[in-house]
Formats: sequence, structure tokens, C-alpha cells
Amino acid sequence: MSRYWGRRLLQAVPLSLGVVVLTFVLIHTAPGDPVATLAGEQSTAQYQTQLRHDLGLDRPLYVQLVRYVAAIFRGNLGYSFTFGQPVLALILARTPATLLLMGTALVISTILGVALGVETATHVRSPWWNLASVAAAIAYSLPAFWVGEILILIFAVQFRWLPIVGMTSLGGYSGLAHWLDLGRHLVLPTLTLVSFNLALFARLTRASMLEVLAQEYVVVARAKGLTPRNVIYKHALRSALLPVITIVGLNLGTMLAGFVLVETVFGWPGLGRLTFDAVGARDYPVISGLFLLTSEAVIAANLLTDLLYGIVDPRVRYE
Amino acid sequence: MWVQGLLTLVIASLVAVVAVPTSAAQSPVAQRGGTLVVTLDADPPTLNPALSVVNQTFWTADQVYETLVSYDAAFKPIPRLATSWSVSPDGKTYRFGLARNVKWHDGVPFNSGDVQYTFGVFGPKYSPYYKTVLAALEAVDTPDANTVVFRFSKPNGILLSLLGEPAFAILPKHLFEAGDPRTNPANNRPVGTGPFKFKEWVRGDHLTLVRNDQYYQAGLPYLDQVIYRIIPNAASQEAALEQGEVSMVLATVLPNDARRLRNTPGIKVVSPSVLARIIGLWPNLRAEHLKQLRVRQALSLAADRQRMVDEIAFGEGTVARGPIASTSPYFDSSLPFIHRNVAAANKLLDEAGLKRGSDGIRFTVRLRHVASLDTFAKTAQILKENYADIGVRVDILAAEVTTTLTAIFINSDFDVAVYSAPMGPEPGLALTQYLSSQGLTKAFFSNAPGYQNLRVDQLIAESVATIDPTKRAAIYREIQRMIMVDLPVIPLWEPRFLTAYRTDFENVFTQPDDRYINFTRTWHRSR
Repeated sequence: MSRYWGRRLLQAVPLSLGVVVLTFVLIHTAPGDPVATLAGEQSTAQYQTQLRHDLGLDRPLYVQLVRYVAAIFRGNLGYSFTFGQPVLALILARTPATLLLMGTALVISTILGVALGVETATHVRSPWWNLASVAAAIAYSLPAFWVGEILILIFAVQFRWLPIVGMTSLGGYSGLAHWLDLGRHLVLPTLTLVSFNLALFARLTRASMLEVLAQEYVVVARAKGLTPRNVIYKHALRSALLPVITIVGLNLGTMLAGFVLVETVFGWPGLGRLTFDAVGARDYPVISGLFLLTSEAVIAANLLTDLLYGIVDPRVRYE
Repeated sequence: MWVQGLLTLVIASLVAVVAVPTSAAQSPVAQRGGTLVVTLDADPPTLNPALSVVNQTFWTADQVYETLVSYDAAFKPIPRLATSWSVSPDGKTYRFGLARNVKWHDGVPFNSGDVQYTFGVFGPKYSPYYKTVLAALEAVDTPDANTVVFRFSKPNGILLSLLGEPAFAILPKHLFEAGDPRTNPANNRPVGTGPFKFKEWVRGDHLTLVRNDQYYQAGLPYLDQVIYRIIPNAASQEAALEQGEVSMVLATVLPNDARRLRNTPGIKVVSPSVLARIIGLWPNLRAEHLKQLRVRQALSLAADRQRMVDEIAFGEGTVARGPIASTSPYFDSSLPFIHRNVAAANKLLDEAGLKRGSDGIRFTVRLRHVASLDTFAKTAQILKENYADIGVRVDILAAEVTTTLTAIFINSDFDVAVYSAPMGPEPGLALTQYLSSQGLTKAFFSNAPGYQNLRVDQLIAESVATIDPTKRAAIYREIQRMIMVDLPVIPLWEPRFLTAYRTDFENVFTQPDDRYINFTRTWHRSR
């Protein structure tokens, strides 16, 4: 098994390098010049030329690429002049906020989605469960930023139950009050993300459950006189979860894209907003750094998915 | 020999006003304490105003750092770090007397050496702005610790209109002297002389400034804190203001929400501006049809300006009459309104020999604009409809900022563009850049239309060298009239940058433009 993991990890190296080269070339060959946003409306031609030189943008693309890759191997992702900080520090400072939001949203939407999927699969004829399923599908098809705005209007502006933006209240709390405050800020962005993911996970679980429930071993389990609860959760769900796990893992990249919108609406100081700002400013080092780190995260998530497979399904063997 | 000439100001009375914290007429019961929470739509890229080109830096850093002068509501220079000044009759030498007993926030005394360092060393080397404005600055002398003398190789008539720009804030020499100033930690933790000191900056969330208790103007500032809350979305900013979570939405109020906010008790909406932006249609004078004056005149006549103001700005704006907006002190108010006249426009195109084809179309133009700017996109749509009436087909090419600007400025790859250039506070600079032969550089923010009129060149050069503001205004008026004859830019409408704040704060926005917003005298009515 360790050989298998060693091989998987080794595969990740050329994959990462490929990602670096591809994103670098893509970003740099896209039309547009970062000097346009850095130099400012009142800058002279002379200043712009100097700036292009200082940023190394007047060198041939392959020279820029080689220098970038060499720097990465030294652990240096470059310096962002748009944000006035080293790229790595910038990304690391924003990561906890995104991880917190993503973790909360992922856990809640997975638990609720799986539960909803199981219930709709086992109560095929129940109008209530079907209604819940339809509602989830509608929520899935609504644009996340719109859902966010509506939630703000209802819960923050109208009823004033929850804060509108940010991660913490101004003035600051400490201890338990700080965590409660953070929790209150988490509610609306999490709800927005959950509303999107819930239907996806629920429908997937439902389809997978329906398939599994029709299989012989489930019939056998029922015939053995096991309680329906035991049959569903202990026998059927375990195999039905495999495709759900795959999708959660694969979905990580897509989720990060969704964060760009949700973090912008809720003023959440995470990586999504950083991406939005960096792309707008054509901040090459920051965009490349973000792509590199997110693709590493996706690679890591896929490795983790493989690991979970083995736990959920003992038949899976690592060769 | 120093002559106390026309513009020679030693403003004792103003100094007195500045030195007395509670000028009776303005704030009879100014109270100390309170926190002003201001929205920002994005983090400042840096808190060093001399390295930045964006408002997020200016709005925040200008509370920590100070410029030599600032402006009253009518855009008259008033003392700040410089308490007096005089200018030689030839306009080549400016002498400033500096405020005394001023200390940097780290306790080091401020003196003329800091001003010399800022303008003589830092600016020319690192600032995007200095080269545009102070190209002819030869030397900055420091006869004593409280006096600086600027010497120019050419007359400079507009210096005082620019020294109040946050980008010209005085930097602490002792912190920036060593190493590369662009990566100096002080860029993220500024140490200034101003009324507020830097406390903390949680990127993406908030930035906190606290009162400088050692501020050299006794009794000021009134507020305990100014906190900037980063909220990228305008609708969320407004919701936060209505709920009282923030005290001020700075320059980003949506026009369609302005009326509602104005009618909300406890909220005031204002929009002072001297940066004098108009949204205009910029023709490429190298393009086949657009080089003809009659075509440009037709495009100007066919544009429905009032509809743009009504439908895009929801009435929060006005139709443009010239290249400089009507909010500028130099606007030529004698310029006529341009009313839509499709018949006259059609006639001009007929006279230009551009007959309609069998499909009713005379010719097609490619219109470029920055896609993310909603006002530009809607302006382009209305123009497309307007020009259909005169047989001109418009192909809209909308792309994001850098792509569009590269196409317009660097590659000249456009027929017309919806664009907006700041024409203030001193139009001479922007005119040099955008509409004079000197601006034919194919750099960003240059003369994209390719306009050349030697008389206009000459007038623009004169404007920046003229010290007397009345004479300068006369020159600007002539330039505006000539531009409206040649139409290297077709003015469409003037947007407003709306600010809303809660009225339990006083003296919130007394400056002539949000660019200069400063909270030294702002106070909070606790009851």
C-alpha cells in the first residue's frame, strides 16, 4: 500500500509542474497588460516603461517562465505589487477564512444532502420529501450571488438577526464571545453555499441509493429480518456513498470557483475575493500562486478521496 | 527677491482658523469620542499614497499622512503642513513655511528634510504621479528646518492645485531612506504626522486608525477611531449603512438607490467633485470615417444624452457640454447644451458623402468599452440604438479592463470607445496627457484619439504655466471651446460619485472631492 501512495505522490509532481507551466502561459498570453491597472490614469509613458521593466514583463515569455519556476522551487511565489506583499504571505493570510467557510459548508451540505437523498430514496411516494427535493433543485439552479443578496435582505436588513458582511464584528470580542460572533457571521454565507451544494449531493445520494436498494444483498438483508433503519444506513448507504465521495472530492475545484462570488457578496476575507481582485488587476504572480495552490489542493483532495474509498469500501485494494 | 504678489499668500487669518479647534460657526458643540466606520469596496494595495494610484489608498492614508496644503469646499488651498507660502512672479520658485512642533507618530520631529526627501528623492524615483506633475522640478532647498523652497526650470502655475493631492503626502525620511521603499514595511504600517495613527489592518476585513493624542493641532481630532470596513458589494454596503453597521458609504452608492437613501431619515447623500469626469465617446481620428469632422458632429448630434442621465444614472448626473465636467471650477458654463437632432445628423452624413446602403446602413464602427463598468456598457447600448437612426451600425466590443485599455491606448485597435478621463482638479495636466501632441505616446492613458491641434497644444502649455487662476480659467475656456469645435472627444454625460453617511456625524465631508476626504474635524453627536 505504501508503494501505491508513493507512486501517487510521485505522479503529483509532474502534474503540479504541468499546472504551473499551463497557467503561466495561459495567463501571460491572455490579452491585457497589468501595467494598465498598476500605473494609474495619471502616469507617464516613461513611468510605464520603467514599471514594465521592474516587473520583468519586458523579457521574453520563456525567460519569465524559467525564472518563475526556479523561484517556486526555492519556495518563492513572487511579490505582488498590487497588494504590496509577498504572494505566499498574501495567500496564507487569506486561507484560514476560506477553509473555515468551505469546511463548514461542506460538512453541512454533505450531511444534509446525504440525509435528504436517503429519505427521498426511501420515501419515493412521499409528497413532502419530493417537495423538499424539488426545493433543493430550485436552490441549486439559482445564482449564488443572488441567493446571497436575498438572504442578506431577509435576515440582515429586514429582521436584523444576522450581520451583513465580514467575518467578525468591528470592535472585536475575545474568548467565547469571539467564536459566537464568528458563528453569526458564518451563517449566511454558509447557507448560500449549502443551498447550492445540497441538491447536488442529495440527488446523487438518491440515485445511488435507489440503485443499491434494488440489489440482491439488500433484499437478503431485509429477508434476514433486519430493521429498515439497519438495512438502509448500515448496508445500503455505505455502498451508495462511493459516488458521493468522488463528487465531493472532484467538486473541490468547482467549489473554489463558487467562493469568488459568495465571498464578494458577503465581504468574506478569503481566497475567492483575492482571486477576483487579482484577476481584475492582472496580478500575474498572485493569479499563478492561487492556481498553483488550489490545484495542489485538488490533487490532495483526490488523494484523500482514494483513501476514503478504501475505508468505505473494503473491496477496494491499492495495487 | 521675494515679492508678495498676486497669489502671494501668507494666510494669517486662515492659520488662526485652523489653529482653533472649534470654529464657533461650524461646530458649536463638537464632542469628543466616537467611531466613524467607512466602507471600502477593496483593500488599499498599499498605505503609501506616493506609491498608489487608487482612492482606497488616498481615502485611508490621507488621515495618517499629511500634505503641504489642503482645500476648502470651494477648492481654495488652505494650510496643512505648510502654514504659509509665496510664489515668485516668474512662477519658478515656491517658498513654504512649515508648521512647527510637528512630530511623526513614532516621536521623531518632522522638519523640512522630510519634504526635501519626499519631493527630491522618493517622488521622482518611485511615484507614478511625480513625473507627470513635477517634471520641471529642479531642486528642493531647505534654508532652515521650517522652510522649503521648490525651484522649477519652467514656470509652474498649477502647483497649489496639486499639492493637496494625497499622492503628494510628506513621507518620513528616517523610515524610507534605507533600502527599497517599494517593499518597506512602513507601506503597510504607515507612520505619519496626521490626526490619526495606524492601529491594525486585517486584509479583506477592516483597517483601524486611532486618534493621535499628540497631534500638533490642539484638541483635534474629535473622533476616537476611524475604521474602514472592506465590503466589495455596493448593495451590501448600503444595507450595512441602513442598518447602522457602518457610518458612511464612500463614493460607491448606486444611483438607483440614491433616492431611497436620501429619503431615509438619518442618512444624507452628497457628491462633491472637482475631478470633473465626463463619460465620453472617444473617436479614433485615424479611422476611416471618424477623421471627418462632419461624421463626429453627426455622432454628437445623434446621441441622446438626457436618456443616458435618466436611464443609466437615474437622474443622478447631468448631460455633458464639454470635455470638462460642470463640477470643475474651470468649466466653461457658456458652452451650449447639445440636443438630439437626428435630421441634422443625417444631413451631415449625407453631406459627407456617406450614403445609406440597401440595408439602410452607411457604415459600421467598432465601439470598445470596459465590460465591467456598467455605466459604460449601458452608454454603449444607448449609442448603438441612437446611431441606428442615422444609419451607423455599432459593433460593441466589450472586454475587461486591461484588454480594453491595451486595445484603445497601445494598439489603437478601435473606431470609437466609451471612456472617461479625469479632467481635474487642474485640467491642464489631463489635457496634456489625453489631448495634446505631447500625449501621442501610445502609452496607457495617452492621446488615444490621435488628436493634434497646434493652437490647443500651445494653450494647454500656457495653462499649466499661468499662475493667476482667473487668467488660467480664461485659457481653459478657450481650450474647451476649441475642443468642442474639433470634437476629438464627444462629451456625453457626467456621472456623480455618491457618498451617503449617517447624520449623527458632523463635518463629515467638507472637502471639494472625495479624493481629499479627511476626518480631522469630524465629530459624533452622541445624543
